[in-house]
Amino acid sequence: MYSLKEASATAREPDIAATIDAVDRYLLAASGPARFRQARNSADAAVDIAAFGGLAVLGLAQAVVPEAQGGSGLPPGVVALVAERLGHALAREPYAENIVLPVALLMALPAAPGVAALLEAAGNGEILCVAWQERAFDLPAADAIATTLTCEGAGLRLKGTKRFVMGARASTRLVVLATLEGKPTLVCVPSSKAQRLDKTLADGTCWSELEFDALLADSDILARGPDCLPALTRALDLTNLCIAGMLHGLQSRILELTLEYLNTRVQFDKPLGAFQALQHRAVELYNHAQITRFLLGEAIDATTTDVPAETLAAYASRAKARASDAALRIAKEGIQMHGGIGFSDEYDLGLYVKRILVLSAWLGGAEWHRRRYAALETAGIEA
Amino acid sequence: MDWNAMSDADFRAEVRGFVESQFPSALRNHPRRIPRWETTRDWFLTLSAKGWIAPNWPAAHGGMGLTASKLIIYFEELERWGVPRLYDMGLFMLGPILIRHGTDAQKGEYLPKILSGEHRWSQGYSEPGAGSDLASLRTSALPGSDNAGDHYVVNGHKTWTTFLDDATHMFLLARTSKEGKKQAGITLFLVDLDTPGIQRRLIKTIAGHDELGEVFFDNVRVPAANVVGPLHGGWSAAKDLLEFERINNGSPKLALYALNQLDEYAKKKGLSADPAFADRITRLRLDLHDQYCAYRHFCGLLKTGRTPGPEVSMLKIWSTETYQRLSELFLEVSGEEGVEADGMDVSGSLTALRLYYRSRPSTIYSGSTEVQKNLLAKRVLGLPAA
Repeated sequence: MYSLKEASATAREPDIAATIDAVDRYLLAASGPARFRQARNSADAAVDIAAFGGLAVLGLAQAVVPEAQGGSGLPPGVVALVAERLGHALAREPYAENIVLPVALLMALPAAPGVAALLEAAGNGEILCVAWQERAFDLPAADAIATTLTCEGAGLRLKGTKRFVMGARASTRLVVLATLEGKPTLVCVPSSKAQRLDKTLADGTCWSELEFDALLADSDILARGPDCLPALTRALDLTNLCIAGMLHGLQSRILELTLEYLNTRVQFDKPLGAFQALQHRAVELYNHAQITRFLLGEAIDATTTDVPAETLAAYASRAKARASDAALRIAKEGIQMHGGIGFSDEYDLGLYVKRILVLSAWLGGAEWHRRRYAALETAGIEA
Repeated sequence: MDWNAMSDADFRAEVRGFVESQFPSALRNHPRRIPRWETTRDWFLTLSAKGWIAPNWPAAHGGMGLTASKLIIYFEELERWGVPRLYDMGLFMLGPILIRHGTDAQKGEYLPKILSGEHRWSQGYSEPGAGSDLASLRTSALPGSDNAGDHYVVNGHKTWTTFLDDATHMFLLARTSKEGKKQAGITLFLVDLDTPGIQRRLIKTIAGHDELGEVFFDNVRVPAANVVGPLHGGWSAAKDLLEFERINNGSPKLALYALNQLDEYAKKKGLSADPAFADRITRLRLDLHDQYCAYRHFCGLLKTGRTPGPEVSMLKIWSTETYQRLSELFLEVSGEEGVEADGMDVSGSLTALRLYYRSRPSTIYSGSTEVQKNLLAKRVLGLPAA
């Protein structure tokens, strides 16, 4: 009922459909909710590393990398299709943070030996992570970077603090945004050089605050100057499209659970779903899920390898705004329509709700993305 | 001309150029929801002569054969210029159903006359006792035969009919059998409103316009050749028609018109600088823009010959509610001047009040929001009967 196959021509292409089927087969064996529950609040990076392992086996890190760079060359919009399946299965797999964001960033940077080497490492299953954010989400801007690189002897000293770094705990190397002589610069840093403070999130996963005071070499610089921020913005847009896909999967699953419950739970001698008041509320949720689905389908189809930055930006913000609005609405109505059991920890519904809470907030909430869309539209860019 | 082969930008420029140069400026943002035929006739004929009157019909039948994306551009440009609604029931409702279910003779007779404006269609569905519960309709059609041939004799009473003032024809649902389920004995007929025995009465709306009407049938003779689809099988043809209707009513054009009006008003009044207003209008803008995607999806299904199915109801619910919310926001920000009964706002456009009235019936006609939700609940979500 909520499949993206119907809404996206990209999803129907045979090689892409095969990729999605492979993800589904993997997820079938992986038992999302039980595993998600078990790993909740764990302070052990091993749970993240294990979850990443499944993704590596599926070859997802190479999926959207161009063939010339050793990847499968699928269009980048595919990340939202993969994410949708992961969301629907409540997979813990760190796809957006450890694959989509770092790989998209490396792909968007000008060719350089360091960039190529890191992209290859990602393809070989190394866990990478991007540490760029220092405060509440906003587009990357040069004057918002307090982390600095300064020359020290023959090397460079990296100093500063990054916050809300999703996926840092399992990573082995980080791509860090800093300034060097006032210019935005991206450097590659071993994760072990950061002092890490993990913060458990509502859904039991974590992000980290990373404090840097490390000596690096010139050769650790991946990119410097005016290319850095546009590349990062593009990567963040693709990641938000990916998150929107995940939110769609999560909300679809809540809707399925809720409809199942309405059909089976008997009160006042009839199934709850026979009450018109509840039927109409369920339809409202369905409508929001459908609008999300058709928008996502179009956004995915528009996100080709050479999609212009502004088009991707408009689609990404629209998709994130719509998907998080719809998901939050379906989440709270899902709890209400289940009644007491919906508020209990033993029932899986809450796991989905919490995942939605976290993903809706990460990399900008609906309000932020609506404002950005309005600004893009005023500037004459439409998606 | 293959319009779909043009780039979106070229097509938009083409439509815009034509509308701006040819549409009579005195008719822009007309105060009536649907101006009378004599008012819009010349424009109808201009579009007809250009081959642009039926953007949604296949080219083989004299339409433009537009894809959904191009159709949206077409609507956008007309709404942007404040072009009022035409006598379009034949174009958007009956035409598609005849193309699908009509006999060759019916297609040959009626389609060209819809395009030329010679036949102006109205819809005869609702009755005093059959509104949301349409299948309870009691207007009857009994078979007969005489020297003039096989025919049906229609008796009954239809109401809430739009376009009645200048309509020449009506497609109507009548009961041809009382056997079985109440949906099973209904037939779809094409009726010439000049046939003896037909009386019309106009109904004034809360907006003060005589745009609705009721029709009384007293032993009205309808040729048997005017049955569309199978005898007693009108319900499925009608439902099919309702699906076209829901796509048409689910089209973004009405909400788009309201958004354009509100945008213009906001610009004049400097409202856009107010972050609270900006947030609300951006939400509504996105509700509309995101609905485009759903609209394109359902139109795309039609183009490939598939019936969209009951899922399409969501389109109508979403677009009409967005339309109403836009009109309500407009009224709210217009303050006192919004409720002056005949005032025009600073931009010379329609007042918020008129938009408020105009958007009301959209959640009532062609299946109220509540009926659409019942349908979705049972036929799509699989919830049990209430």
